[in-house]
Amino acid sequence: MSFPRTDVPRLRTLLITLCLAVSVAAAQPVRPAAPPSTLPNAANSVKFLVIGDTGTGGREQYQVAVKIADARQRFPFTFAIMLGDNLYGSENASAYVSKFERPYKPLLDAGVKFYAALGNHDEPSQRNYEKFNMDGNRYYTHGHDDVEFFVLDSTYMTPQQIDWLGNELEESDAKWKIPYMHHPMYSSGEKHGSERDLQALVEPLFVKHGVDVVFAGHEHFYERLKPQKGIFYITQGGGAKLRKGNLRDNSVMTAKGFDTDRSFTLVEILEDHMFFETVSRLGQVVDSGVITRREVSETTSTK
Amino acid sequence: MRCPLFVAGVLSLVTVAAVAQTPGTRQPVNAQAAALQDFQMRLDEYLKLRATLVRGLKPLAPTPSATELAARQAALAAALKKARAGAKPGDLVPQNVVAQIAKAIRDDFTRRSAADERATFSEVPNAVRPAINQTYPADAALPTVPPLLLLNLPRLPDNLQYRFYGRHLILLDGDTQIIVDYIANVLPPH
Repeated sequence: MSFPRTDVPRLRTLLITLCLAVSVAAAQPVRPAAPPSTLPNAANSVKFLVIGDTGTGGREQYQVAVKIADARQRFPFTFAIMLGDNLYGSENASAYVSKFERPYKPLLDAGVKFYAALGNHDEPSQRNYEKFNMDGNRYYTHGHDDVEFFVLDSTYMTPQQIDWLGNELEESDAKWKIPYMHHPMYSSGEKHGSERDLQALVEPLFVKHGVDVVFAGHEHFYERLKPQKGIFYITQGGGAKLRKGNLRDNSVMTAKGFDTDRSFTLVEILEDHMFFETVSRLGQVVDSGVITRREVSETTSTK
Repeated sequence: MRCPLFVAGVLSLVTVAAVAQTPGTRQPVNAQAAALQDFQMRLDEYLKLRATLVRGLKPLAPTPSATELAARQAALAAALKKARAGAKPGDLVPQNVVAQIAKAIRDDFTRRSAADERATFSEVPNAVRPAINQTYPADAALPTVPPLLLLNLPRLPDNLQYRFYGRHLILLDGDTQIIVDYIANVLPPH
């Protein structure tokens, strides 16, 4: 096949343009159409986002953030809980921008409030950063209708904090009491694993005061555990970093795990039920389900 | 909740009493209590100094500006370093409290499994001897001090924290990330 000589430069330009278009397309993250949500998306429910181990400022954090913003179009959560390691490495002013404000700008602009827990890569001074809504405290509570969250600093679990937690749980009359912290009490991760000191000191409080669900991060993957002493533990530490293949294959504790890509979790609490949906960086739903409050499910099962 | 905490509290008291009766230390219980009181007074002095310095600066209170937050933190850090320029190891933790802390750490790691110990030290930065007024490295994790060990260490005020650093236990000013005192080589080799 031959072309007239005058067409050769035009053909070359066309080929270069085509190559550039292909390479730009390849550099874009794959964005398949979002699957239909498994969440009820009811008008009067408490809707929130769960993210952990996010603060890298790297490409993957931004890619996950794009998917979160997409998800909010169909599931309008009003706040987010952050499970720690909010800022890796340097914590100068520009780090707050590149590792938090910029990736989550669409959410911040839409008025989504972030409630942070401290991780082992976070300086305690983050408690004074207003956009983390910690009000100057390493550990604190925040409430939304029937749901009260107990935000713990598991990197430094002092006797004072344990006493405080006991009192707060005792005094709370919320239907749903949801603690969250950075370190998972139970984990099938090969790198870190379960936190036995927290099991010894903190878990008895959860059992005593009717906690149904606990969120944690630290492990750079997603794991939903089978109930431990009646409590559901969910680890969501895949908001930016990934510890690929780190979930032990034969763990008897795992109900569902996802350690091949980053992810985030959407949660909706409607009366006595907590619906959840975990979405990967590529937009796939990798886990979903519903948890019923123990008090209700036990009443139901004994009827 | 009360039950395990009560048991742990009793264990702490037993530990303190045991330390007091260990032939190596040979300190009566009231000497141990006096040492802890001395430690508390030194901590109070530190807090008083800190409060005086804070009064002359913008407060470490919630702010929407990360720039402002970093500036306030840096200003307090600089003021603390200047005011404590001559501070030496042991200025805050008296020697006889060092012995109690060392024993609590030894006891704690004796009862831990090898796997548990590995996990505890997995993110402790390798560090040569720390220095007073040194800023904790920004790119290093803040390793978790096991909560059961914290239960058996003398309590610190909210602004100060025990942290592992190499084989050393440091006292860290949380807001400024400055090492205010340390106990060298008190942790098991890892």
